[in-house]
Amino acid sequence: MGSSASSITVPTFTGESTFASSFQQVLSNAVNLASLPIQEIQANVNTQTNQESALSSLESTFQSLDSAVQAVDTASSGSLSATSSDPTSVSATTTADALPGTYTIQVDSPGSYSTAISQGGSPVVTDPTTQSISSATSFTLTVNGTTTTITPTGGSLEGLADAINNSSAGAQATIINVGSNTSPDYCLVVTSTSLNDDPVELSDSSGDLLGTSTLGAAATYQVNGSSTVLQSDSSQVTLSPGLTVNMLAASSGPVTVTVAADESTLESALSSFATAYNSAFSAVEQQTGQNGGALAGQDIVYTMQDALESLVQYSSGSGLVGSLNDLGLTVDKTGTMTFDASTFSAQSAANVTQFLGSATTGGFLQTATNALTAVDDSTTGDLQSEYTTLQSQVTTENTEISDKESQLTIMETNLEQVLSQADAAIADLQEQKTYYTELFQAEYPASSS
Amino acid sequence: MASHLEQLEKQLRQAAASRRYKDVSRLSKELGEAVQAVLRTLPKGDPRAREAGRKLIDLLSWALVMTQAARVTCLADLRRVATANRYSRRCGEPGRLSVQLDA
Repeated sequence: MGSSASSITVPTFTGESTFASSFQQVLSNAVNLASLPIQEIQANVNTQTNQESALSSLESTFQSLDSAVQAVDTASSGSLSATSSDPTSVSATTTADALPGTYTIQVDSPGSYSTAISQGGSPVVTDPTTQSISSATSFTLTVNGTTTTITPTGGSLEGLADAINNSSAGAQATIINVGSNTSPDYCLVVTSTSLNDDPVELSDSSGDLLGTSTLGAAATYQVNGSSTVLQSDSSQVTLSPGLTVNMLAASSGPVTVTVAADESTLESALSSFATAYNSAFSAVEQQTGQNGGALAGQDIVYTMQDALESLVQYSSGSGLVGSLNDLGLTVDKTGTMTFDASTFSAQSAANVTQFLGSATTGGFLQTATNALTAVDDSTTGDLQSEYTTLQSQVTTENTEISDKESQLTIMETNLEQVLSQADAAIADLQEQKTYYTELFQAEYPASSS
Repeated sequence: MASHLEQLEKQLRQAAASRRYKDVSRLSKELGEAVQAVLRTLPKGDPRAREAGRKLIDLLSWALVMTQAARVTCLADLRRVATANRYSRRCGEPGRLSVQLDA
């Protein structure tokens, strides 16, 4: 930037003629008048620099608002959780693949596991760490219709149980004391890990080691109102991609499982959105009115106001949640937005999700994202465009100031030279005239000047 | 000799008219000395001496008025240019500050 107009110095003129003092005054006036355009341009540059600063501040608040909208988007679509209308009958878990929505499941029977206990007559085991129900080193385990050879290390009952548990036979072995504390009698219990009615059998070379199995049963259930009864050999079934339900008990009717954004995360994001909106609104307000900031009256201010209004006035046109008011986000007469968490919590997750949509598929979030991007995009946004224009103007006017200062310097130099020469000439002529007038009056008294 | 004086007079008038102030100073001195030199060749009481002196003083007076008038005109031009430049800026046109001030 060129130096300010105030730095222009008026050349000091030291003349010889009686007009020297008036020359100095006229010269000062001329320079001061000539420097006025520079002062005007400098004032423009200062205004534009202030506008740049105000734009930068506005951009910051809008980018914060944009980030808040993105956080709502993330909370709405990225962090899903499942809730059950009857947690005693059905629990549910989700993974990242889960899709928001509502599902129903009716548990007719949670099923049961086949199980068997070592039969009476086996050797009494009082110390399962050293004794076992068989001295064999190899056993045959049949579970779910599949036969597996079990070869425990050591000869203890614990070793046999561990070998069963470590195998892939699909059974779980435990040891229970069917005796007393003083006369313990430890037995082996083998339970299938699948819900079905296949017996559980364990034998060594001498024959069966377990008593008669208590047969299990598959879990039965119905999905989304279908009359088809489904069976599962596991209490956990994948109801939908990313959604697993755990059938805990028979339900009295259909149990609703809702997969939606995690409410607490979304609630926090919406509260932050209100805060960010208020900051942006306040920043824009400071640029309006009689006491507005450097951008008062500029189109960009109205553009930003429109963007904010498009957020507040968004309406989905349908659904139980159709506006920000329904989400608990209300704007008072002063334009301040507040968030009422209780209003938000009263809405169903599905309705909230439907209203919000996403940045790419529609709904409030797409409208908000588009409106804010149009304003604050770092390449194509209105703010960036205005900023670039201002920078260009400042550069141009600084160049103009520099040029004018150079011209003024030249003018000052010329003025000083011309006036100095004129003053000297006048002084010489006055001196000459006085000299010769006196000379001729002395020489020729009758002559006159 | 008379032609030399006429030549100097002509040069002084041209310098004053064209605002060549350095030349005005130099020529006024040369002309005064030349007139004095001529007067020294004339007999005492020669009426041509009085006439030459009157012409010299008239010429110096004329040059002085011309220079003062030129100065005033020049400074008036400066004021007009500075003011015009100020308003030309408000019309959105580049200001015109380059002014030929030399005589």
